[in-house]
Amino acid sequence: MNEQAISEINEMIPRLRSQEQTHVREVYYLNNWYRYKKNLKIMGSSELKNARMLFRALKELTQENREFLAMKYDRPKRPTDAYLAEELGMSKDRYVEKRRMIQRELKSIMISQKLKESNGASKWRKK
Amino acid sequence: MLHVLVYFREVVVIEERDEMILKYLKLSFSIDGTKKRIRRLKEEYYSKNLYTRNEPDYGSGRIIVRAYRVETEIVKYVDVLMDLEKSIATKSKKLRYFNCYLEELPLNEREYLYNRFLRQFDVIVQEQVEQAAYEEILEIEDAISYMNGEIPDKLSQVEDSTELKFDELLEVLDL
Repeated sequence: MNEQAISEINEMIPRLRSQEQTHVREVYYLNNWYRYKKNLKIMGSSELKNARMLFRALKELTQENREFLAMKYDRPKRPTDAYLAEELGMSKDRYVEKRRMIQRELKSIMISQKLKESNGASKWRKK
Repeated sequence: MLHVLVYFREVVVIEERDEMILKYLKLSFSIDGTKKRIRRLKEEYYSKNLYTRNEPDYGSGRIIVRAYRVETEIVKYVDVLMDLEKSIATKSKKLRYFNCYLEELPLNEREYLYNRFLRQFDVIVQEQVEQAAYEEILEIEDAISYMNGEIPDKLSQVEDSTELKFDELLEVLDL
């Protein structure tokens, strides 16, 4: 292999790694919100890790936003957007817009916490 | 023969609360049991043969000499002994606190607990008395685990985790 290809690969590795770390689907965790609560006693270590990750991020949100998300996700069966919009007295589009905005905020929090944790762990390992 | 069959077919379901109260009422017996176990362990250990012995070694096809391995045997023995002694210490602490609680109770309530759990009489169930005793027991468990330098397990005390509020959930998960 020539040197150029090697240098390209070397540049690619950290980029891919950072992509891997910053890839979080917050909807996956939110969909499991109720199940995490219900199975708190019998969960394994990996699921418990996911649950802790979700609740740690939710702690950072304001109480109003958290309750807004809980209306949809913290339930045994998730109600539709149209139903919830009617309950809150706003249009469906407006409701979805607001929910996605909060979820984006949650996602950024989760990513930052994950990065912080992984950086801390790598520093710990080096010592 | 019939008695045995009936006995085996009967399924006895004990609730967690009843189990805990029964366990605490029988603590002195269980302390005696561990003391007996320690005595038996010591007897067993000191009656061991310390001589060397001959054994066939099937790999090389010879007879080899084996000796009593002092280090490993002693470590095993002392570990078990220390565990048992520690358990006796915690149990006697629990017993002391629980007896203090029983002394505070009025006579009829104390009598009720003995009749229901130890003597197994048919008595009218008094929910309040049992619940109060159970709460006291949980408090004792908490205190003992703090004394031993452990963080008490909050999860095991949660009955229905779906009814938890968010702040309580964070407390349970230590976040």
